[in-house]
Parts: sequence; C-alpha cells; structure tokens
Amino acid sequence: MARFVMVTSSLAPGDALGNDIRQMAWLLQADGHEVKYAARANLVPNLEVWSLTDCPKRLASKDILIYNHSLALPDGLALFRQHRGPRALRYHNITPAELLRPYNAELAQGCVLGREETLALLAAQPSAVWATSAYTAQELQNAGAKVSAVFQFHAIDDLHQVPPDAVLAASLADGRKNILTVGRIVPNKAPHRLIEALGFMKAQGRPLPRLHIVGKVTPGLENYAESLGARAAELGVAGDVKIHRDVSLSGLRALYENCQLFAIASDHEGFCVPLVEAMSFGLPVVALAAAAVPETVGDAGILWPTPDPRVWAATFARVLRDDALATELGERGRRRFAEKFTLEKTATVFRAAVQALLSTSMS
Amino acid sequence: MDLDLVKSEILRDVFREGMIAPTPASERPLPSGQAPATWPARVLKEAKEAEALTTVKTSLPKFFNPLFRKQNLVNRSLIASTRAGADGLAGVMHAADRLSHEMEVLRRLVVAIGVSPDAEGLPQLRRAARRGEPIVTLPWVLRQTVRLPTGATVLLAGCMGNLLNLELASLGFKVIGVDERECGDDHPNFKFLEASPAAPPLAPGSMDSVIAVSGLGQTVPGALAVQAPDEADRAALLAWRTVLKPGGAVLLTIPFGKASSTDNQQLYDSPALDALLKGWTVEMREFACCATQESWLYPTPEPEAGRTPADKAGRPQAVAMIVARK
Repeated sequence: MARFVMVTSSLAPGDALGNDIRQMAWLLQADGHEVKYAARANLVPNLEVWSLTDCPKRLASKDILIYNHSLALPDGLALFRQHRGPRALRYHNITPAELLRPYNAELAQGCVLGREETLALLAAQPSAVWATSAYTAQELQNAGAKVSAVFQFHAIDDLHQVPPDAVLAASLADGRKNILTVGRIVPNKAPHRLIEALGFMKAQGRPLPRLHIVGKVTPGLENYAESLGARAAELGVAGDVKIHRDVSLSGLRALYENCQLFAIASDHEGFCVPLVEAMSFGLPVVALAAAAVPETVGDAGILWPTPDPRVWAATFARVLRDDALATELGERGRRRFAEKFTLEKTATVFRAAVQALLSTSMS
Repeated sequence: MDLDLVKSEILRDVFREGMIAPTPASERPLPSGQAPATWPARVLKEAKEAEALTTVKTSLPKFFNPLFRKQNLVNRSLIASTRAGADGLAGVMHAADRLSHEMEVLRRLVVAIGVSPDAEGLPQLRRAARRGEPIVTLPWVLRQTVRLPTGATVLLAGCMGNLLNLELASLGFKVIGVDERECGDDHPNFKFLEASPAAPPLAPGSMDSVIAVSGLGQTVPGALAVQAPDEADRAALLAWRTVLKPGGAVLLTIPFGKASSTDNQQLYDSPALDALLKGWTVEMREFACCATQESWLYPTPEPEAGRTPADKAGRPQAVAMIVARK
C-alpha cells in the first residue's frame, strides 16, 4: 500500500475544493492506502495537517504527491518541483483575472500568478494530470498537457442524509415561489444578473418569486457583495432577495427541497457542484452556457448563451408557471445525476486514475 | 419535451410582452397606400423618376433580384413598389427573404421613406431582417464608435451592404467608403472611392479607424474548412493597418463558429481568429449568436459561439466582433 500526500493551499469543510480533496482521501484510505495532508491553512477540526514548510522534511521519496492547484502557492510549487516520487497535478481551475479586477486588483493579480504557476507545474512534468471537467482539461491541453482523468467529487450524499432545517423549510412554504442560487458571492459567479432578472419581473408586473443567494463572501470582495443589496434596493426588490452567507447543511437541504428553480449565471465555472446538487434534488435548472456549465447540465436544464435579464426573467416566469416543464426538467436533472455524477461513478474514474499513477510509480 | 422549442417560446414571450422598447411613433402604421406628408422632396422626385417601374406591381419578384445589384435602383424600386401597394411590398419581402445581407438595408429604407412596418406584409420583412447577422453587427459598430475621437476619419471597407456610411457621416465622422460598386449616397461627410475594400487607395497613416462589417471571411466556392487565416483576409488586414494612424482602431465583424466553409463564407474559429489578430492589440473580443432561428443575442461566451455551426443554408449563426489597435 502507498502513502499519498494531499497538498493544497487550504482545507475548509463544505467548499468544493475541500470536499473533493476529502473524498479522494477517504477513497484512498478505504482502499488501504495511507493519506497525509499538507496545506498553508486548515479549517477542518481534528485533522492533522503538515505545514508546507515542514512538508519537505516529512516527505519520503516514494510518497505519492497529489497536488491540488487552485491558486498561486509558491511554497507548493517548490515542493512539487523538488519531490522525486510520483506527482499527480489535480487542477481545480483558476478564475480569469479580468472578472475580479474591477473589484479587487490584488485578488486579480493572484489569479494571474496562479495561471502562471499552472504552466510552471506542467513544465515540472507531473506523472499524471487530473482535471475537473472537459472544459478545464481543454485549458490544460491548450498549454500542452496530457490530461489523464476528468472527475469532480462532491458531498451530495451528506446533503441528502442530514435532516432539512424545519424552520427554514416552513418559511419557504408560504405559497410564494422561490429561486435558488448557490456559490461563493463573487463577481465571476454573477448573482447580480439574477437580481436584474428579478427586477425585470417586478417591472413587468409578473408574480414575483423570492431569490435566495447562498454562499460565502470571499475576503476582499465584500464590495461586490454589498453592491448586490444596493442594486436590489434600486430595483425595488430588496425585500425579495435573501442572501444566506452562512447556511448549514440542513439549511441548504431545506432550500434545495423547497425552492422551485435553481439558477446560475456564472461567467466561469470549472465544474459547478451546486448544479449537480440541484439536479440530485430534481430542481429545474436555468443556467448561463459558459465555461464548464453546458457539459455539467447537458440536456437537463435550460441553458442560455446570454445573460440578458429580459430573457432570464421570461424564463423564470415560464418555469415557475409551467408545472409540466418544471417536472420534466426535474426528472431530467435526477436522471443526469444518476447517470453521470453519483459518487460511485466518480469513484470508478478516480480509482482508475490512481491505478495508472501507481503503475507509473512502480515502473 | 423539446427544450429548444420551449426556448423559442420564451424568446417570443420576451418580445410579445413588451420587454423591449415600444415601437417609436415614427414606425406606427399609416393608412394603406397613403404617402406620408413628411416624405422628403428628393424621395418624391426619385419616385416620380421611377414611375417607369410601376409594372413591379405584377412582376417585381421576377426582376427585383437583378435590380438589387445596383443600390440606387433598389432605392427606386422600393419607392415604386411602395407606391404600388401591398403586391409590390410582397415582392420586396420576397427579395429580402432571399438576400439575407440586404434585409436590414431594406427594412431601414422602407422605414426611412415613411412606410409603416406594420403595413400588410411588412412584419414578414421584419422577421426576415432578424435572421441576418447585421441585426447585431451594425448596432454593435455604432456602439463602439464612442471609442473614436469626435470627427474622426473613418475608412468604411465595403459600404454597399448597409447604411453605415450615412449613419456614421450623420454622427459627424469623416467617412470614406470604399467598394467595388457605386452606392449612390450623398452626404457632406461622406466620400466614395470605387476600389477594392481590401486595398483602399489611401495614404498610409491617414485614418483614425477602419471599419469592416462582414468584410472578412468571404471565400471562393468550394474552399476547404478554415485551418489558418485566409491569405486574402490577412492581406486586407495588412492594407488596413497601413492606412491607420499609429494607435488607430480597426472594428471588425467576422463570421464565427464551428470552422467550416460554405459557397461564399468561411467561419472562423478561436484558433483561426487568434492567428488572424496576431500583431494587433485586441481591446475587445466579443461574440453574438443566433439563439433561435430568428433572434440574435449578445454577448455570447466565446466557447458557445465557437460551437455554433452555420445553418442549413450556410449562413453563419455566430459572429465575432473585434476592436483592435495598431
């Protein structure tokens, strides 16, 4: 059995990066391997994590490194270059800098550096390159990499196992329709577009649903989060937009079970786990056809190539009043989840990738 | 359930339920066959000259297409057909349906001479106009002109297919239109030069801007799919670069999508576009695509536009819109 070391910038419970890393680790452990973590920051309680500075002293040459690349991490790059054993580059995608620059130039510069590090990591000739989607795989292939596996883990089983937050569920079941969006509250995920669409619905005198925006605010982008409330107020829909910055797993389940539509208007997604969560709950999906979103949604949702709020407002109105359409979309979503994204299916792809990596290390 | 059909219905909702600006008063219906009191004297004069064409009432569909090749005759036949009433208008629509690139011109001309777009048959003309890429490329070009200095000198490479020459001239730009066919337009700010748009006979470094709407991506019948920029396109870009002042801007609209060629157009894809624009400082790289058979939407993400094939008739269903500096 081998020892794997998961290297990452940070480990946090509940986010896509953290969930992906933990699921990989649990599968490796279930298959009898040993797993260690090395990170610059750790927010997961009761988990032993090496610091990146200590890591070189603790690493054995035959350890297998799984390097999770999601932002610039010079210490990690140095570690990756120095390690003589097998190294898998797990690319989680990096937001294009231009989407963040208007709100925080420093964060945008971090993205530029992160993308430069992607090239440096590829130049270090990893034993394997794993992408989260065909979209991110294409990005790597454009840089000359050979991508050996495409997969994305999630924690949807946990979500289906916790009881729903009864208080939140009751507040949603008051006869009004509810639209849900989930994801960090950042400009590249563009929840402001959903507020614009809601504003159009109000201007047209359509029955107005509530919009629930669920996600954490990235430090440094508080100005963007604040702008959402201001815009909602300008459009006269401040009372119809609920921003949930710190929702529990039970609360999230209550939202998925009691909203009537899931919408996402992101400019950039490397996979978009919330879309898969929504499909697993049979929630009709409306999304912007950008980045990895089309391949994640497939034919299970309504995809628009434009963020035009008039089009989105009309789409919301149609899905919310057309029960047959909503049911069809919900069924398509459930079917797509079962066919493509269950943990079992993802685990099969991952285990094959690990097997190939182990073969490399033995040869 | 066909989701494409649902999307088409949703888009129809968008337009039907008044989510777009209401029809301006100038486009309200007029009584059938009645000339508006505001017809300009020049138009009335041309209408009189064109009385010989009144036979269009019965035979317009047969000879309208040849007339199309001369824009000044198009103007006259339009006027004549308008005077001829609904049958004549049906002929205009018939021609418009077949000549996608000129549809928007027709629509604008019809509106310009004061005919109601809601007159019998004209909704058909409006629908036809919606199918062609000029419905999005021409407004996009006008929108980008805010980047140009007031009164800037503009080379319009190809000025027959639309009214951009007069629109830009009316906005105060000094427009030089270059085309192989006389367009017959007069304006104090407009000068026409009969030459190939790809090789304008202008002094080097004399223009603030070059605008080419659908000027690139034209190909010869039977050409192979685009794998690299077409030689003729590169030569044209080089010629335009030469006449630009340092820092001058080129505004391009280029047929885009899943790389392919039809009898008269080739679609650029992302790698081909990258290669074409090598050496330019690209300020804006935007895309629009035909989301349904009749509606263009902007902006469209590049990957989505890149996946869009031409329609069965070979018309591009996506377009790249570029602002680049010398």
